[in-house]
Amino acid sequence: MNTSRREFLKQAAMAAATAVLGGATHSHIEAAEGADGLLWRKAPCRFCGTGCGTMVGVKDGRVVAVQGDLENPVNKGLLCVKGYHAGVALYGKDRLTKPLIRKNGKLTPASWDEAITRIAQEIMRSPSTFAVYGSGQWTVPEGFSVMKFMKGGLGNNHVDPNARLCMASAVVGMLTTYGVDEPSGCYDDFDECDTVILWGNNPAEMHPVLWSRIVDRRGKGEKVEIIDLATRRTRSTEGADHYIEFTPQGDLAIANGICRLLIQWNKHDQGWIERHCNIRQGEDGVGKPMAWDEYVKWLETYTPEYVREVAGISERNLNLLAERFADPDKKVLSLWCMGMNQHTRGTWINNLVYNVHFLSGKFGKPGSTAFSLTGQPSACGTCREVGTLGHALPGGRLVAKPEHRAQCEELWNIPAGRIAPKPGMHTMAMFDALQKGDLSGVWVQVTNPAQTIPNLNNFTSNLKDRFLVVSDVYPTVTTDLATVVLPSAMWVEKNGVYGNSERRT
Amino acid sequence: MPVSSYAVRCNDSARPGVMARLGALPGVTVGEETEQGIPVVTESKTSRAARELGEQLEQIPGVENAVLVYHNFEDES
Repeated sequence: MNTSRREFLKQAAMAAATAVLGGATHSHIEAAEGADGLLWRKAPCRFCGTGCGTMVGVKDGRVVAVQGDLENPVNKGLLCVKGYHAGVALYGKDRLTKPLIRKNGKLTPASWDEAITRIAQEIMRSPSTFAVYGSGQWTVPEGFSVMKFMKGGLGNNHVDPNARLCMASAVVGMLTTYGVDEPSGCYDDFDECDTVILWGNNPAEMHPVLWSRIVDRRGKGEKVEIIDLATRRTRSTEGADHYIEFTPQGDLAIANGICRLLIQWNKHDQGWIERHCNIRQGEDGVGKPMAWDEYVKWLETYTPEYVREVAGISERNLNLLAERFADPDKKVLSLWCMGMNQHTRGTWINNLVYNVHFLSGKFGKPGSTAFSLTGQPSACGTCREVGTLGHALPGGRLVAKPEHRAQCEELWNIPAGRIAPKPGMHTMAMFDALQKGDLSGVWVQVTNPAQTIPNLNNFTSNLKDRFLVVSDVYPTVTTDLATVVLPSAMWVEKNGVYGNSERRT
Repeated sequence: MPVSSYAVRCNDSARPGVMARLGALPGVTVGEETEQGIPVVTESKTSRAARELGEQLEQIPGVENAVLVYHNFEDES
């Protein structure tokens, strides 16, 4: 790169940063239009659930630059650490470029025709025992195609994503609370809230752009309080006003302890509860109806002393949390992600945090909500809305409901009765069946289960003996076990859409 | 050599010290500050070095955050 080009790029880079900081300049606009010799196009980032908008600079058919999309309402021009590598990741030396078929124990280059013929023959040998395992990194059209191919084509519901492992408790938490798998908040709440409570959440490292959106308000002179309620210190702790450490599993007691204090102080929002809530005792997805007095009595266990015993937090800190919810003028945002959602009692803690917001009436108002963040770019948009789950069909429909199957069969113009009435295997049942030989094969897409499945050795030691197809962009420990490997397109090499944490697509 | 830029935010009281420290870092060009923060451009040998320099910006006393905005790595690709 010669000096004049370097200086030009530095000016473009400076203009972009200046624009993000409120000083929009003409040269930024020039850069977007390609005065730097690059072709700039928009693309969503695909490296987490935030759903940032990026501008991708292309030169001679290769990605050479990335900048945050200033016009995107999610990230407003910012990138995060992934921006350094999003483009470079396309061009690694070991990128998979040709189909591979295992012959005499060794993966050997093959033609697409040969690979696809082999896959088709194996699937048709036993269509009912073939499965697909994917992830929240499928684009919406990819996930839809897979789901329709399996359920409407093979008549087999054995398709599931790794989102089963990370988001099941968030989904069931929403279903049992709202009756629908949809989040209540959106990112605009981050701009409006007075207090953010991080429930075992570390957005400074996991969702850095969203974290910036909160802490940057302080730089503009706004006051936003952050309470880090966690089992260990993280980078987010550094930006918090209060750090409250609790014993693992103690968060359930904390949530109930806050509710008890709100009622004891007569600071709960009785009108809101009467207008919007039915109280039910847990145990299953429906629950047993519970009168208000019964609920109040049930909460009596959760005295500050009991919460201290279970959760290890002081009465002062429990009061601090409850006071935020008790203040009618304070807008409170609760945030969580895998800390709660991969909790062994994840569904219950989701339910209980909603309870705190319902009881205080801090819900459904700008800046006041309870918000479960996602980790993958399209765990919401693809897996949950499209229905790439063994039990699901698109749009919240269920395999088990005859009317939902009939609707899909009519929409897809396939014979009535094609969609099997029995839900397909969920992720762990799928890998258990592969281990035992009850499933003959699986097509793994956009995920790496031989690295990531829980109890790895118990569920993957026989995978190499099954018909294992892996679509991926680089070699992984799962491709090492594969019978057929298909090279895949990645990020801006293909078209598609994602649905992010706030369900923006 | 990748060229990157950042939006650096800090408290008003910390600004003079932050500006001085940023200006003293090799490979860093400090832009014209706005009410919201300080735009900064860096030049590095590799994307990895750019990332490390970005992390260094965040470690400067008084900096609340330094967020990547632009990254051109055409020499690397």
